[in-house]
Parts: sequence; C-alpha cells; structure tokens
Amino acid sequence: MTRILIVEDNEMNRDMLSRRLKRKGFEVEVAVDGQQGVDMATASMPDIVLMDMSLPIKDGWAATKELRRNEATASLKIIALTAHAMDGDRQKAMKAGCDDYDTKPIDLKRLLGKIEAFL
Amino acid sequence: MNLSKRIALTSSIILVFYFFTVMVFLWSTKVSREIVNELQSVIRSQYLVYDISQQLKELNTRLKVLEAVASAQDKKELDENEQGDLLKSIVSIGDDLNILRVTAGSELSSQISGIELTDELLKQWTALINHAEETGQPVQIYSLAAFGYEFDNTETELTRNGFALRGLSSELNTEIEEAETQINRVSLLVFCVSALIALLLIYFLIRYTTKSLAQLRLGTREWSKGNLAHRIWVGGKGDLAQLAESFNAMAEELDATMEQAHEERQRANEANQAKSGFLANMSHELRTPMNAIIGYSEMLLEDIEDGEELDPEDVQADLGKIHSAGKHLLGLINEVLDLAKVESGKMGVYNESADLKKLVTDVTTTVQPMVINYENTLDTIFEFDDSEIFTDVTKFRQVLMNLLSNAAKFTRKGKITVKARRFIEEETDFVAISVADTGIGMTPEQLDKVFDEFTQADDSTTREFGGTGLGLAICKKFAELMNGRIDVESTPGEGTCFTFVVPAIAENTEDDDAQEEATGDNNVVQIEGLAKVLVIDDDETSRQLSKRILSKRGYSVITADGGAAGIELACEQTPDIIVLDILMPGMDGWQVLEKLREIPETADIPIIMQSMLSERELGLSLGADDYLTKPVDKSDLPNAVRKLLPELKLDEGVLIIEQGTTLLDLLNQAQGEEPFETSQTADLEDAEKWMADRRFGIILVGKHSEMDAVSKFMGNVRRSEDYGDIPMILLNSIELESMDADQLLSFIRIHQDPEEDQNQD
Repeated sequence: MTRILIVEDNEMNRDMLSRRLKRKGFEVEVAVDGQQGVDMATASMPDIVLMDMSLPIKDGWAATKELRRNEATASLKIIALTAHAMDGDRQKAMKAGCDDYDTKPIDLKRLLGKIEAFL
Repeated sequence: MNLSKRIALTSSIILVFYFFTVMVFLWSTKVSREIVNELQSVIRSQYLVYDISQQLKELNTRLKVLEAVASAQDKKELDENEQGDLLKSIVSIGDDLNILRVTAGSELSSQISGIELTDELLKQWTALINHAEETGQPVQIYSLAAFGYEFDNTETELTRNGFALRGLSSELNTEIEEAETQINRVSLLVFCVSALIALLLIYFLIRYTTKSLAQLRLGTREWSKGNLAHRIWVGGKGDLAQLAESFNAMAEELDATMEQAHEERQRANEANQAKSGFLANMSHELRTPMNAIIGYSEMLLEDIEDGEELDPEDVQADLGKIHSAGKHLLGLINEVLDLAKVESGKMGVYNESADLKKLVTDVTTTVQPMVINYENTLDTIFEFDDSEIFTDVTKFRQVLMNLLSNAAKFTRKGKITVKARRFIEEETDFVAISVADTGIGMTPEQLDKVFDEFTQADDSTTREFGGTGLGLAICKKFAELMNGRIDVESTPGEGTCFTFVVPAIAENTEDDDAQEEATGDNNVVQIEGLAKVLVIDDDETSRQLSKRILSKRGYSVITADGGAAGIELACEQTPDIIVLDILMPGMDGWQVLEKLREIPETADIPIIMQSMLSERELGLSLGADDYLTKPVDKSDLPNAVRKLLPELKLDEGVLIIEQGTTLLDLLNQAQGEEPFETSQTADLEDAEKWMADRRFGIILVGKHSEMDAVSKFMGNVRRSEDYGDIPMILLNSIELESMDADQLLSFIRIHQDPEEDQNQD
C-alpha cells in the first residue's frame, strides 16, 4: 500500500487531507511540524511526502533541504503543498529540493494526479 | 579680492608705471634740450666773439692804413666819407656786441672777457666821431692812433675768450653725453621695474583665475561623476570664490535632493515590497481556511454522492469545521477591509460622549468567558474621578477588545489586570488603559514586529492561539487615527503589558463635525413644507449632528432630549418621521417606541432607530421602520428618511402646469431607475384637454401669472368626479430655485396624499 506522510501544522487541513487520502486507499501518516516531518520521514521512509511550507519549529523549505542532504532520504518523493501561491513560490519550493509543487486550496484530483506520477 | 578688482588694480598699476615712463621721457627731453641750448649759445657766442674781434681787427687795420696814408699825404684830418665809414663799422660792431650779449645771456656774458673793454673802446670811438660831427671839426688822425694800445688790449682779451668758450663747449658736450647716459639708465630702470611688476601682477591674476577655474572644473567633473560630496575650494572672497560657493550650495542642494529622491525611491520600494508581501500573506491567509472549507465540503459532497449513510454527528463536526473556517475567513476579510480603509484614509472617526467606566466594564464582561476558559483571573482597576469621555467609542471598544482577548489567549492560569486612568500631558487630558497579563511574553525581536501585519510572535502561535495577525496592526492604526498610541512592554515567560493612550476629549476632526459645521448651518436650505423630522436623543452632540445632517437636506427638524419629551412633541407636531436613540436615561428607546406605536396620532409615523447597539432585528420586530447602527455615515440618515417618505406615484405620468420650465427641469433631473412621463404646459385649456384624453398620476402646479384662473382650475379638478382623486400639489409659493431634485421628490412625497395635505392645511 502506498504510504504518504503529510507534514501540516493546521489541524483542520491535516485532518481533512488525511481522511480524504485514506478514503482513496493510501496509508497516511501525519507530522505537525518540520522537525517531526524530518524525523518521521527518516524513520518510516514513506513513498510520498506532502510538505507544507509554513511550519513551526522548522519550516518546509528547511525540512526538505535537510531530507535532501541526508543520503538515506535524499531520494524521497516530496511534493510541496502550500498556500504560498504567488509568483516565485513554485521556484522557491523546487529550489529547496521538492519534486513537485501544488497549492492550497487543494484540488484533490490534481493532487492525486501528481501523486500517481511518482508511483 | 574679486576678479574685476584684481584686473582693475593690475591695470592701474601698469598705467601708473606707464605714466612714470612718460614723465621720465619728458624730463630727459627737457634736460638734454637745456644742455643743447646752452651749447648752442656757447657756440654762437664763440662765433660772435670771433666775428667782433675780426671786425675790430679790420677797423684797426683800416685806421692804421688811414694813418699811414695820412702821414704819407700829410693829411691830418679824416674827411667826411672816411668818418661815415668808420662810424658805420663801429655801429656794426656795437650791434654784434649787443647780439652777443643777448645770445650768451647774462651768465655766459659775465664769463666772456673783453666785452666791456670793446664796449668802452667803441664808445670812445663813437664819442670822438660824434664830437667831431657836432663841432664840425674833422677827426684828427693822431687821436685815432691813441687808441692803438687799448685796441691791442681788447683784442687780446677777446682772443682769449676763444679758448675759454671752446673749453666750455667741450664741457657741455661731455655733460650732454653724461645726461644721456643718466637718462638711459633711469628709463631702463623704470621700464624694467614696470615691466616686472606688470608681469608679476598679470602672473598672479592668471594664476588665480586658472587655479579657480581648475577648481571649478574639477568640482563639476567630480559632480558629474556622481561625487556630490565634493566641495570646491577657492580662497578669498572674490567673484570666483563666490561662484565656487554658489556651486557648492548647488551641489549641496543637489546632494540633498538626490538623497531625498533616493530615500523616496527606497521608501517606494519598501512600500512596494510591503505591498507585495502583504498580498502574498493575504493570499496565504485566505487560502488556508479556504482549503478546509473546500476540502470538507467536497468530502461531504462525495459522501452524499456515494449515497453513504451519514452519521449526523460526523457531518455536524465537519460542518462545524467549515463554519469555523468560514468565520475565520470573514474575520480576516473584515480586518483586511478595516486596514485598507484606514490606509486609504477612508476610515472616519466619529466621536461621541461615553462613560469610560461603563465602556471598560462592557468589554471586560464580553471577554470574561474567554478569560475563564483558560483559567485566568481578570482584575479591573479604575484610577480616575471623571468618567465622561468624548471619543470614537466603536474604535475604542475594538482596540480594548483586541488587547484583552490577546491577553486572555496568550495566558494560561494567570492573571490579567486592566487599569484605566486619566492624566494630563502637554495640556491634553488623556485616557490610558493598560492591559497586563502574566502570559508567555515576547522577546525584543518579537516586540519589534508585534504591530506588523500578518506577524505573530511565532508561526506556531497561530496554530496554538489562532488569530489573523492583523488585530494589533489595526489597533495601532486606530489608536493613531484617534490621535493616540499603543505602547508595549514584555518579558518572555513573564508577561506582556499593552497600554492604549488616547485623548479623553477628542477634538472633532474634519471628517465629521467640522466640515458639517463649515458648510452645514450656513447653507441650510429650509424648505417650508418638506418633511418634518423629530430627533429624540439624549446626547447633545449626537442630536445636533442628526439635526445638522437633516437640515442640510432641507428637512425641518425638531428635537427632544428624552423619551417623554419626544412623545409629547410627536403628539403635538405629528412629524413625518421620527429618529429615535435607544440608550437614554429614564425612558429608553424601546419604551418610547412601544408608546409611540400605542398612541393613535403617532402609531403610523415611520420611526428610524439609531444606536450603538447592533439590535436591528429586535428593533424592526418591535415596530421600527429602519435601524441604523452608530456611528452612522453622513448619508445614511437622510437616505433612511427618504426611503420612509410616502411612495411616489409618478409612474402614471406627471402633468406640470407652469410658466417656464423650472419644475420640468427639476423633475427631469430626478428621473431615475423608473422613468416617468412628464407633460408640461402653461395653458389651462390644454391641461384640461390632456386630462380628458388620459389619466395622470399627479398634477404639479408651479409658477403662473394668472393665479386666479389657476385656483379656479384647481377647484374644478378637486370637485371633478373623474379627476378629484389625482394628487395635486401647488408649488408656486415654494422657492423652487433653491430646491434640488431630491428635495422636490421628497416634497412631492409628503404632499401627494390629498388627505394629509388637507390635514396640514
């Protein structure tokens, strides 16, 4: 079963997204801040990481960079999932090492398409 | 020294030296001419002395010949011819002698020896010959011979002069040479000195000019390179120094302007960045709750589409989340709008009287549940005697609410202390409300940004404590708008204290009253017969404001300062509209409303309630016709009044009877969304014909010269079975010129009902 790690600090959004992904048949894990995200990703090596960018303790950009630096997690598939949707935000996420980028509010079909593309 | 002075000085010095040179030339010419003259007279004298001595010698020879001839012929006397010849020669010599005296001048003459001797000799000879002629006795030749010795003497003397004079002339020649040498020397000296000084002066002049110009050139080059801090240095106080100074001043100004431009550009850039940042933040903040709303609603939709059995509790939880995200979004939008309003200068300040104690207590009561929720305690301390303040109550309340809810949110099991006091600073009476908590506190870095938009002490705070990050930014802006401020002190882990300071008695801003004052009272166009409005409000300021706003639109306004007085006035005057405040001492607005609706005379009068309380629903349900929440906008009240005037019945067409087109023009201006037909004539027969042809909604009668005929016509219409029910309004005594279209419509609305019209008559 495909395992997805959601790194998201907003409780509502975390709950909503994890429930919707579970319904689609994914195994979902959640982390509530960047540091926890890095730790969980390292520990459980999920197939896909959905990374919010504005996160407490360690933001999504820093967390992604850290995962990329670490050999074990360097090849993780990370999709930036953020409400930062201005010009340049995509580049910023890609530069930090994300494999793809999607904006909130989430278009589930589009997001699933991006997830499928990596599987 | 300035340049022109330098040039003038140099030129004058050169001129002075030129003058000296000329003087030296003149002097030398004079000196040499004197010497040459002397030399000339010496030479001429020499020549004359020689000549005289020759003549003397010749005369003597002749005398000797005469003597010899006489002795040979034994002749003892001179004949007359010989005598005449002798005399002629003597006279000639005497003449020469005189010429010599003149030529040599007295000084030289004295140096020439023999002149006196010659003179003497000639005199003797002349005397001898003259004696002979006088006596008629011829001259004895022997007597002539007696002069031989004296002649020799004389000649010797004269001959000696030749040497002396030659010596003198050679002396003079030497003198001339010496003088020339001297003159040459002096001239050369003068020339050299003047040339040297002129050269020096010109050198300095050129050096000064060149140096100054070089400095100027250097300066302008530096400036053109952009080095505006460069300053030109030119010594002295001359023209060029002044020029340099003006250049420097120019550079300084240019520098300042550039600096300013630079700063402005930077500010603009910063503002631009702030704007972009704000926009990015906005986008982020709006998208986050939107994500929850869309996500959950899609989930619910999917559930319904899938025909799944829905657990009401689950659905309720999800709908709750959608609702809360939506509320959050709305709060955000409202706050953003508030901010935008403040920033665009459209946020007005509406000051009114309020009770400070009551105001603070209201807010603390409101936040009490939140305080209790986090197990906090709240203390309120009042340190003032006079509780009355005049301020923008809505903003005051909003700021206080925000500070208090922040304190409650960021404190757990702690204590919140609200302290309100008044103090005088620089002759202004201030109110200071401090809200101190024992919460998480802030670091200096967090404090720096606490009033920035979309910043919370930490991103995690949003998660834990909620909020949009705009509240304090708005509070600060409100405080500034109210001529006050918000200060903050905080220690991480110990707590935070915000202090909100505003003038206790706000000065009315241009926004509200001042402007009304300026244009209001003076321009009030009271139109007799336009709707009469009764304002019932206990607050003087608020009452006067309503009165001014309405009077300005031409309504006649009567006021009452309390409920009972209001009811009395309403029964007495039966106004067309009543504006009623709710919070009043004694009988409050609700009671007045109830009473007014009970009394038959006032039961049908439209009532507009206005209050700080947002109780629109309640007001309307209790029988109010409209409800305005204070602060009301300038146009809100008149608009509400206009809406409540009887409806216009213009759609069936308007018949206008008037001379001229005043009414027609006004009505055409008033044509709005629902256009109406207008027929206008001054001819009463035409009017009658038209009325027979079609039905009009209303008849307006304006200015007409034959009022008797018009009155008769109106009487006929009133009595007519066919048209008696058509509203008819006589406007000829109304100052139509001073009315605008809105006012005319209001007037028509008030008077179109024939019954009411009769009542008023």
